[in-house]
Amino acid sequence: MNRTFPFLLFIAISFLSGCGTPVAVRSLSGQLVTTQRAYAVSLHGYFAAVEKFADAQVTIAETRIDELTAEINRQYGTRASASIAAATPDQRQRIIDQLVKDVAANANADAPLKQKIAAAVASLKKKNQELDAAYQPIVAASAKLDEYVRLKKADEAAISSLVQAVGLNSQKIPAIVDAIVNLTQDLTQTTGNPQP
Amino acid sequence: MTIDELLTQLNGLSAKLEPVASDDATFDLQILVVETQKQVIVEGFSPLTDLDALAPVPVADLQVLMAQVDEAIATENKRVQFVQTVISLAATALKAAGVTLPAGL
Repeated sequence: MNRTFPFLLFIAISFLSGCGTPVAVRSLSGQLVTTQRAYAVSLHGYFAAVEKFADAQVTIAETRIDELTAEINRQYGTRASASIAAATPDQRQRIIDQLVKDVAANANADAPLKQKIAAAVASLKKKNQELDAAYQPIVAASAKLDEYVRLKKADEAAISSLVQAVGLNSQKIPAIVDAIVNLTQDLTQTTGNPQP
Repeated sequence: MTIDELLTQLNGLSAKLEPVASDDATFDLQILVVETQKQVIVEGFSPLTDLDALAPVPVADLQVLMAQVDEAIATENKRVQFVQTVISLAATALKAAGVTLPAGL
């Protein structure tokens, strides 16, 4: 071996200390993608639970509306029964006709109410789907950025070749760079703040 | 006044009127109270219709920018290949000039 090795190593470390993507940035980038993917799964499950809850609320609401409609019909029936006792046959027929008409109108009045509820829940589901779908490109964009962050850059390729030449494991380079940075900081503090 | 407060007052009024008002008036009021209860149920779902007014998440730009990052990745890969070629050529030239190089180069 000759004096070329330390020289190459020096060049490599100098190069790396000024270029490349710091390990912390790569780690954060990768973790961000992992977290966003997990979040997407949670979001999907959350929307599914909310939609089930909404469907249950629709069932309860429709049942309650039916009960109230039945209550109104009972009141129509009670009024008709009270009136019919003292009525003439003609009046009885009119009372019965009116009762049938009232009950039918009462039942028909529920349809728009139930449609309004169904439309509201449909809005919820549509928005859920929209948000769920919108999150997929967000995750994909993060993954794409992460791909770039993790990409071997040209300067890193140059360093890699030089480092291989001196037989050094490239994974050790960041630790060496950190040591150099710490050493530099110590030297700066020592020279910048002389002890009395 | 909220719709719930209105309903409470209607119920109270219905109870007050029952002994004094005509049967028809009391009947109509009772029907009105029950109809209001239906409306209360339906109105409970109304906030969901406001979701339609929320602006959609703008993700179309992301697709465009991702394509640009793809191009940047391809460019960087070409630069890497170029650097490796240059180093290889330099090593060959140095060897040809008689310079002793480490085994990796």
